[in-house]
Amino acid sequence: MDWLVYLLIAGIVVLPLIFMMTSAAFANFWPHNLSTYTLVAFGGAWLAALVTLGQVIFNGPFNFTLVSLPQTPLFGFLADRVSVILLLLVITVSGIVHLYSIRAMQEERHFSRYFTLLTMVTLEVLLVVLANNLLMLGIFWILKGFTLTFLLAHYQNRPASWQAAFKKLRADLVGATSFSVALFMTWNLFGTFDIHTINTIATEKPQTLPIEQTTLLTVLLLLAAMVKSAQFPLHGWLPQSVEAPTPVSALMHAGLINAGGFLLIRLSPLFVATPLTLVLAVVIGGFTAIYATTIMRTRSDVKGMLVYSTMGQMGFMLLECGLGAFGLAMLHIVAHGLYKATLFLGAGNIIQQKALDQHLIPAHKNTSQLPVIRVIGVVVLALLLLALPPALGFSVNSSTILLAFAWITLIYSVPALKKLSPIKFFAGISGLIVLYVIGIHTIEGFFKQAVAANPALDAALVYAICGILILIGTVAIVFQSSHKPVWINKFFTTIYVRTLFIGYNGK
Amino acid sequence: METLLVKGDVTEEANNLHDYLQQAIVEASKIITPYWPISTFIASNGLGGLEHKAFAEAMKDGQDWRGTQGFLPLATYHDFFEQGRITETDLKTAITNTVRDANLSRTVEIGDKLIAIEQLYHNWLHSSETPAQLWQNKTSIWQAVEQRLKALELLDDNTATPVKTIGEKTVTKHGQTLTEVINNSMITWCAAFLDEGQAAWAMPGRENGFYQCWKALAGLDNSLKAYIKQPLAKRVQALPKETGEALIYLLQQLGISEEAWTGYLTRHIAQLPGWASIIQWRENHFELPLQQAQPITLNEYLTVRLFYEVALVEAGGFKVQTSIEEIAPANNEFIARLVLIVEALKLKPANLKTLSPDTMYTLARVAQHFNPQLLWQEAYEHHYRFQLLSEFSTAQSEPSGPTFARIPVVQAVFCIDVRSEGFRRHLEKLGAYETFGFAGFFGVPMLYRPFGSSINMVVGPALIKPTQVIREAPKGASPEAIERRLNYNNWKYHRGELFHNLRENLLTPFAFVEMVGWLSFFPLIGKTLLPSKWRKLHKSFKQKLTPMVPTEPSIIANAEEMSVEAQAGAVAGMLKAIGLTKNFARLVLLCGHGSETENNPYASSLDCGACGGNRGGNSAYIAASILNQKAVRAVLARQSLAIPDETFFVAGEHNTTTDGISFLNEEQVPSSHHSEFVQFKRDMTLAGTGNALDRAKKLFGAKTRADLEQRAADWAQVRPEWGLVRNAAFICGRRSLTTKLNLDNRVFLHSYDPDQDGDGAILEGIMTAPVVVAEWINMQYYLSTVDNYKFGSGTKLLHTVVSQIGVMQGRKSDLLIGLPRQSVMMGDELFHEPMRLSLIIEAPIIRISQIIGKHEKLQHLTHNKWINLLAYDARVNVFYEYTSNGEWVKFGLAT
Repeated sequence: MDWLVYLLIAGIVVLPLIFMMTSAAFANFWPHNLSTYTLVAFGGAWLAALVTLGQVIFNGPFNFTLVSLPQTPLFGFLADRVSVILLLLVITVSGIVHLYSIRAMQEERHFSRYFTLLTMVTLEVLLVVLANNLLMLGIFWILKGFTLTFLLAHYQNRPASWQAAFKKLRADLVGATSFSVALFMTWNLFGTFDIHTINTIATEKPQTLPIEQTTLLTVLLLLAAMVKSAQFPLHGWLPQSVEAPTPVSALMHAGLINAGGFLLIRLSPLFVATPLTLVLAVVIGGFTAIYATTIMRTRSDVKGMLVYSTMGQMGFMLLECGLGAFGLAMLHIVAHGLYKATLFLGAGNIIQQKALDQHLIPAHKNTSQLPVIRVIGVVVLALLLLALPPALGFSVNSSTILLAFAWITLIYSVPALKKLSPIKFFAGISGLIVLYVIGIHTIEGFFKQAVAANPALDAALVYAICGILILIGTVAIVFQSSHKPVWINKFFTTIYVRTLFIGYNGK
Repeated sequence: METLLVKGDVTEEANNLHDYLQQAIVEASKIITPYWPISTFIASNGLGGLEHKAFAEAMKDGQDWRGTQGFLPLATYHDFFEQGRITETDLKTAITNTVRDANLSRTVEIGDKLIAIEQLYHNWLHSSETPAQLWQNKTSIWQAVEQRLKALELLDDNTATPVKTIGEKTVTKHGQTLTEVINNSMITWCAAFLDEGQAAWAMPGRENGFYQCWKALAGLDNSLKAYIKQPLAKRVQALPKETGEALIYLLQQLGISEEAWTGYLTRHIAQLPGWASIIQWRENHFELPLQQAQPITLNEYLTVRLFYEVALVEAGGFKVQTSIEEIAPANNEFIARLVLIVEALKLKPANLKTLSPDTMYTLARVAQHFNPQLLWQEAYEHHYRFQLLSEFSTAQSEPSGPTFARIPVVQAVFCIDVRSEGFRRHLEKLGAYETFGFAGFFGVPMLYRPFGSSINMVVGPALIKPTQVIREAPKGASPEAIERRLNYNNWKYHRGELFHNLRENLLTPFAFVEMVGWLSFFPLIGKTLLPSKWRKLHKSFKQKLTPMVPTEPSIIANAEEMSVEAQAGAVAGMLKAIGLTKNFARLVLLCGHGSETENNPYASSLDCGACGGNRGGNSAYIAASILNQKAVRAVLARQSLAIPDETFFVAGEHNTTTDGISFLNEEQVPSSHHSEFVQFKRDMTLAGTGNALDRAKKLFGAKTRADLEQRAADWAQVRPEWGLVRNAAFICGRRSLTTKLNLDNRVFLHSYDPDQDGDGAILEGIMTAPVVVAEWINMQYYLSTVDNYKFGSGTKLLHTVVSQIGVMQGRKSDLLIGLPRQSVMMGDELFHEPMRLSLIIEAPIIRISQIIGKHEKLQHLTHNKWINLLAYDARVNVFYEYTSNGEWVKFGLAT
């Protein structure tokens, strides 16, 4: 059945390629049929990816090379659970963005150039995702950055759009340079670009790798990933990118920006072999998540809010990778991609939504105190349920830490759910937690064969970190609704003003 | 005693200075107009503050102070001329009218030559040489002319070059002006302060007002440290407590003399006109809870602006740009025109001196009154007006079509909105239907409170501030159904709050996205691939879950909320205004209108302006419910407005995006009227289809009615409908005059019967309210078209909704308060035809003149040519044109 997968993957790559080369003709001569044509091309690619997924699930990963040197493949595809799931995400979002663009932008100047670039960047992403060797991945990685630069400068008469494009280009040059150096080092260390070989060596014989050089290699790759996923301090290009048309933003925030996380997931065994880089990823991702989310909270314009939200979510994704929870990072990429694409494409909805929602506001807002008892109840429940993963037969590892975030999220739902009766409330919360634990472990299990195993951590350490996180969350929410001393207010006001200006000045 | 006296004087002086400052701000703010938040979009004339000036002058002010274009580029007019959209006759008429209104003599004698002014104007219009070219090619003549003009003191040295602010003239290392640096900070402060609920972390201290709130925070801002080395905190603290005092102090710091305040502040306001406009709106609506809770004024805004200017200028280290304009551009054009005369006369430069000063004065006057863009614009407008009036006039002499000797089957009252015209035209063709036009609030301005809501919507024309609250009271619904609906609302509210909290807290968005983010797959696909099915699914699901509770206006059951007399008074005003006082049909339809769009910040701009930018169905329903009451009819009968018992008022809503019609009190139609109603309903659907097919031709990619429905639900659609595009005229008169015309959805139609309005009170009401609002709409479209970047809001693809009050472009910009490119342009082509409103009134000219005489506002609009007023005399089928001098001139139709 291998020939079927070859055919399917050929379809996934060739359909957009043909589409890219012919859509300009459609846009000019059959403008009314462009939508149908797009639907056929992307629908076809989507179905092919879906069938491929079935094949990958039942028959395991496929790895085949079209062009190669004796030591290394140069052009070939690796279809496994990670890459095919991402294919589906990219094709879905890109297809929607294509259709959206036809309706929203057909009258704009240079539409056919725009449309071609849109398909081109999609194709490049597909090749990044499918690449079975680092050289091919790197080349399309760099190309994709340049193509996106052109899309950012679509409104070529606006100086702001140019500035955004240049800023992106400068950041990309940093990323491209570090990726290129990383390619050299890979060749020196492994003598091949083949991802499978590299990952196998990293998993089976990590002791054969010189740790300093390997760490440097992964740090360079991390740097390239940070540029693509807009991580502090290489994030500046992202806030500027709203100078591009809305559908470009949607594609970027749902598809392109995940490249950083994908690289880490793709080479997860290599990254696991260099713990220092993982720590770095945790620090950078964690910091970016807090930094960007704080700014997001002060933004009063919709797209500005979405931009910083993405940046924060990417930080969290990097944090997950750093903790070794690569399967969860995959979940995050997919869920966030669909979520953010929908929010960006529907960014104009807020005014109509507000007009409807204002009539739901109750006459007398329930201003009763925060039910502290319930918060404590949830915390106790959470701590008890920390024992749930082992009880359900899942191992206690770093991804258990991520459960703490889910618990904090539940604590924050307490105020909104205070009208529920205690029984319903606690039953609902417990049910949610059980579902969530089972859910994430199922997803981890699904990706298990495609990513590195979660590095084992001491259970005591895991529980300690979880405890601290939950404590912070609890204190914060109880604190939120209580009276604060003056110096605290002053401190927060300062943070408010600083982040407000950082956000609006796009830093 | 003595010291006290001195102190008293000082206070008095200070008070005077404060009053003077306040006056200066009022004057300065005339360069902008209040902007309503986008959720209740009210069209406005972007230069409405300048209506006391002649149209062309106001456009020039706009250009000088705000850098806007007030007319189309000359090249566009030339294109129109090539295409025949402007003809030679139009130009001639425009020139003749200008010469007439300016009282210029028609010829000038120079030596032995006689120059015809109209011919001269004509030549100038067609000359393609720019002043710069003339200056280069005809240097010697130019210099001679310039010298001679200078000698006669005819050149104004400071011709309207407005004062530039110090910030504009000062440039940073990176080539930014200080104004841009100031704007950058101001946008941030304004967006944060004016936010109506977008940011999760709201600006602290807004209850203290803008200035105090800013003062508490500004010292913490370090974003300007690249320019200002010393920390700002000290400087901020040193500012006077009170904002007026602070502004005076800052103006003095900048060394602006008191006479120059108005100009200087005007320029400051003009630097971010959008943000200033919404602040002006807030200031004008001081009664709003929001403005009460978080007040902001232009005075405060200007204080903060000037603070940054002073701080930056004093920090130093910038270059001051020297102005490169040596001669004022206005002078350039003036000289160029005289150069052309001299050339046409084949005068030698040396001979110029031989011309007498009187001749020079005359020539200068001739040249000064020449405004090429205005002339082209008038010719452009004349072309349309001439066509419209010709058709109008011809239609009267044709054998009359259906007249209603007998009573029509149905009378239908529509909104005056231009989009009603097509629908009415199609409907009238289908049977004995008589239609009327009246502003879509049907005489009942109100604070409307939907069922289950705690918020009042302001439903009424912007000129009225309604005080009457009308609630939706449940009618004929079981308590369980009501309870269920309220619970559903409550549940929805809490779910919304929960999602907001989780999305926007510091630690919660991450797990939240993992939990629910993937659910977005369904709307992503549904809204793109099957928009209208997705919407229907949504609606029917909701309806199944919790059926809507049927309601009626609260004032019907509880007359104490609004007395029967007051109810009757409101609707009587409407019926009298449109002349529907007798011969009532058995069914009378009151038809409001509303749009249906998705993902559209400008949705409200497509709804009914007379209903405060809301959908108009509720107003129709309320007016119909009032009119169907026996008690109200009894009151009306006493006012000799007898409505027969058998007349039933139906309420409807016209969906302007899909041309669908919904009937809102269908279940109340008496069984005796059933068969007529069924027939009428069928014809309304047919009329809708007819109008929809007409409209689809103008919407790229739409062919059928289903296409229009698809567009209405499509989140990718940037132009679900064309709105009030191409609006050009307002006809106030009997509908029977225009039934035979296809007015192409371009004309506001207000019904008016001059024979029922002996004292002119009705006409006065129309001219001071609907006409004024129509002028706002017309000017909004006009300005958004001639300068889409400055008066409009550019392409929708770059919009970001800010503070839930408006849109910005890209990352950060001025608040954009006009219409987007997609509302007035088709790609790069103009779709809207920017023309000032032609107001055609069927009434005796004396009556109209008297009304204008009473209202300064109307004098401004008509004398200054913001609208072109025409009167129609039906007895002789003649139009009279109102000139800027307040005279009536017969409009020449015979060619």
